Amino acid sequence: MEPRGLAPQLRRGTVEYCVLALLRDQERYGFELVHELSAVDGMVTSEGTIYPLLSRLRREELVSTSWRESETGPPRRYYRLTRSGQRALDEFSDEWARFRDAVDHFLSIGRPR
Amino acid sequence: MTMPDTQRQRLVAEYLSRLDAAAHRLPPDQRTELVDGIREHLDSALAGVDPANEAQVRAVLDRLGAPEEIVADAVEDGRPSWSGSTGGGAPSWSTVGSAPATQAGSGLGVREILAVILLPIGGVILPVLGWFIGVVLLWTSDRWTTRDKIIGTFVWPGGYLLPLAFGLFAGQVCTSDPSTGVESCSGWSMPAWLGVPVSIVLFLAPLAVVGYLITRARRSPVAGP
Repeated sequence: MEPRGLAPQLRRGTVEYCVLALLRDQERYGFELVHELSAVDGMVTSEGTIYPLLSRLRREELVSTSWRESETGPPRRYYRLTRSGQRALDEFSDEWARFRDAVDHFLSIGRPR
Repeated sequence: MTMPDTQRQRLVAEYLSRLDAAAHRLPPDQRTELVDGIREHLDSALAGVDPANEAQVRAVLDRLGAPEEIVADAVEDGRPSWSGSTGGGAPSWSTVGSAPATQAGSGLGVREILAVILLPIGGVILPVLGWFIGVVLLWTSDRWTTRDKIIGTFVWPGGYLLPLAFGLFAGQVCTSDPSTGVESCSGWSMPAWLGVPVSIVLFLAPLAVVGYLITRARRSPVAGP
């Protein structure tokens, strides 16, 4: 794996939890997820890379999928959070809060407030 | 900038064929899933743009990223991610295997094959229960829409158990008493003009539904306007 800087790696590791979080309260289809993610600046560099990610989340059984008819056009694949996806999301949320505070702590050392 | 609709289709087709070619590096089920996903994305994304505006169509494709880049990401996603493993760089068996046991993503899995076998004849092999297992498999699969599942369930409840029962009870049994010569019949019969078509429909419908379910499970959403 070639070095690509910290930011892409951080994004890579965290974007999947943003997907899980978007599914916390409702099922969504792929385009909808991509749309929500790209609406926030800095989250997604190329939209297409969300699809391999969704595929992996499904294989790891953090999300489940079902096909549903859409009002317009062909049926869509809907994603839904599974029980273990819910668990992974909860664990990450706690860990992330601690991690974020820790990083903030070090970044703020010696910096005028 | 304007362009004919066919040029838009050409841009999209070009993109999809590049994606398909690049995706040969992936295991077949992941490849189908990825290409289907991108296709579905394009359907939705292009529904919102002016088809005559080449710049807008290109922008949709640009935002997706180069097909090769997406596939490279998929290959990398097969490896453990920064968050997915606690170990160093060692690949973990759970994420590296090329074809995991759950292949719900595309085509006919074991679940789907069992369902299309059990729905018509499960009830005959193991009365009622066999069919019921078929229904459970049908409804727990992600390859069929609710409409498919309703059709699969109601044509016919019990599968061939129903037409068989119909055939059995519809037959009129007549016996004649040799001593008296009186003929007595039990059961009931339908006139042939009604009975023959009804029997044909009863026997052919489950076959048609099996064919339909297989086609639906194997389909991939078609990109198009």
